[in-house]
Amino acid sequence: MENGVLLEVTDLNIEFHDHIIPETVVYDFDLTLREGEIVGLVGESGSGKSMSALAIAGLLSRKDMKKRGQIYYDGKDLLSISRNELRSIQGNDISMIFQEPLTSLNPVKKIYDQVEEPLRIHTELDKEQRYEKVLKILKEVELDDPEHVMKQYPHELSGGMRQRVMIATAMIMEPKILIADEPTTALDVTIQSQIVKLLKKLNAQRKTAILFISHDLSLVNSLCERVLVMKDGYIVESGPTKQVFNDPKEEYTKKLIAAIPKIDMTKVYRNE
Amino acid sequence: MRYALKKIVTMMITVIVVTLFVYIAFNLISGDPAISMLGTNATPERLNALREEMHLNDPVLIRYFRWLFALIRGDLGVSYSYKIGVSDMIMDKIPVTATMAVMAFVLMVVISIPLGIHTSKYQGGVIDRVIIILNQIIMSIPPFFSGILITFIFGRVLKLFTPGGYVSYSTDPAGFLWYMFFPSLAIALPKATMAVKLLRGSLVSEYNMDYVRTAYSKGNTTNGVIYKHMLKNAILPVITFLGMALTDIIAGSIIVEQVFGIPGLGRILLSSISNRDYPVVMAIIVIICCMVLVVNMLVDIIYSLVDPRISFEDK
Repeated sequence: MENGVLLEVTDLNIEFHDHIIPETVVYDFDLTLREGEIVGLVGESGSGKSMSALAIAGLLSRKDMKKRGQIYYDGKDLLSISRNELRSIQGNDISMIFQEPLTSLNPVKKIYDQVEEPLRIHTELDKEQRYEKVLKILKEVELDDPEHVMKQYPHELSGGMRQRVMIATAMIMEPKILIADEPTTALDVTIQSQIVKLLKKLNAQRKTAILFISHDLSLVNSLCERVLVMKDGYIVESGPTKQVFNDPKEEYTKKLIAAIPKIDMTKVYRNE
Repeated sequence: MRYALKKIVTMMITVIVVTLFVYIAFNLISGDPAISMLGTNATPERLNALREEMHLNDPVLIRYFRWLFALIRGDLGVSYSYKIGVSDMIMDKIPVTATMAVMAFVLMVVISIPLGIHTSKYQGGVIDRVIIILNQIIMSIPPFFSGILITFIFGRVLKLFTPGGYVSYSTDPAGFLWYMFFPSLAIALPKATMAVKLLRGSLVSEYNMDYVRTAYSKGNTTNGVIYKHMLKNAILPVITFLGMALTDIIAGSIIVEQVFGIPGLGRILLSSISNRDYPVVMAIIVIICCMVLVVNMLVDIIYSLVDPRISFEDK
């Protein structure tokens, strides 16, 4: 697509039909993601940000749910292509990391098998080549002693290490887009900043576009070039992060910004 | 490895405790073996002489240890009513009961796992609904009744086997296995339906787990997600159930043997109980206890192999 646009979401509506009265959780969601940029998606719980992200990643396939609109990636509408076509994109071109790294990893499988899995699904590499790739990506996400870690199970790792493993799994196919759904919410603050730095590094080195979902505005401010603010299923404000933060148009955005604790976390994160 | 060793040691201690309880229990039961051997008309002198000969006048604990050490050497004692070694009486019956138990277990696994996966995958589908109804019916049927039903359907109506026409494994192994298939099915069916229900429920709750979403996000097919990710997690409660079911099968075989006219451990056990032939009864109880304990130990070890979090807590 023209001028490096990777992903174009237009008029995405998500409706639940699990009650008598259908409930819409996302209204007219629009998003354009360009190569190598980091876009923030902020909003309170239940604002529809995770739902939008899951829809983009092709992970909303409940039968009692209706999705309307278009999600264009690589000339294809992800909402209308077949499951098989979608699968060839999932974990390959678009991958996702989640809020809770412990439950997001399979508790009874070794780290190596979980990180290696996308290679088994999407490539024809042999055993040695896969091992090399896994080792390389584990080093890249700055895990100490990767040869040991790959033989361990998720419960034997710390929260930060688990999220690094999740990032390694998501990045092993060198995807064009990484969707990070509150990747640092379950981690403590020092680990948070390490993970954010790691995402920044991967973005800079590999030109992976990141859709960063968070309710932590200061984090979004330090990481993202552009930001979308969601409330009750609507995008209420969007634009370059600096502009939104310095000159918020909407009352809701102003309130959100006013709610940031006075300690200037942006200095902490940008202090590198 | 250390975990397995620990389990084996615990099991051996349990065996000793079980034998002690069995021995003491049978000593508390009223009835003098000497009287039951000689009859109520025997003279006190003859009774006393026999009691001396059988060491019945020694304290219970000493007799227990004498019995236990004989047991460890493989000497199960002498039957009161048949005057022959208990081991000679039951040794050729153990393979009969064991074959039935193993067959029933294999049938249970072979029936329940594919059906459990299928029904969880197609919830509300035709097979799912049929199985839910069948479950309710079969689960409430005791094994002896399912044995009668199977005898009627497969033996009388379909004429696939001759009811009561048991063939020994030494004369016709194939015929023996064919005949044993039906009692095994009678034992396996009620357990299998429960296992289907359990596995279905277990898999259904796994569908909502975060790691399943992760597995889909990697580009897995639904089958890939089920077989590579969910099954190993969902099977854990089923393993526990299968272990418990196997001990039930061993115990339940006693009754089903009666229905199908199979000369296994169950038949000897029942006749020995009514004859007050305690050495035989004790030997069979100890053998069944050992089978149950071995099964439990295997379940624990398999569990720790499937779920890495188990042995971790013991380190």
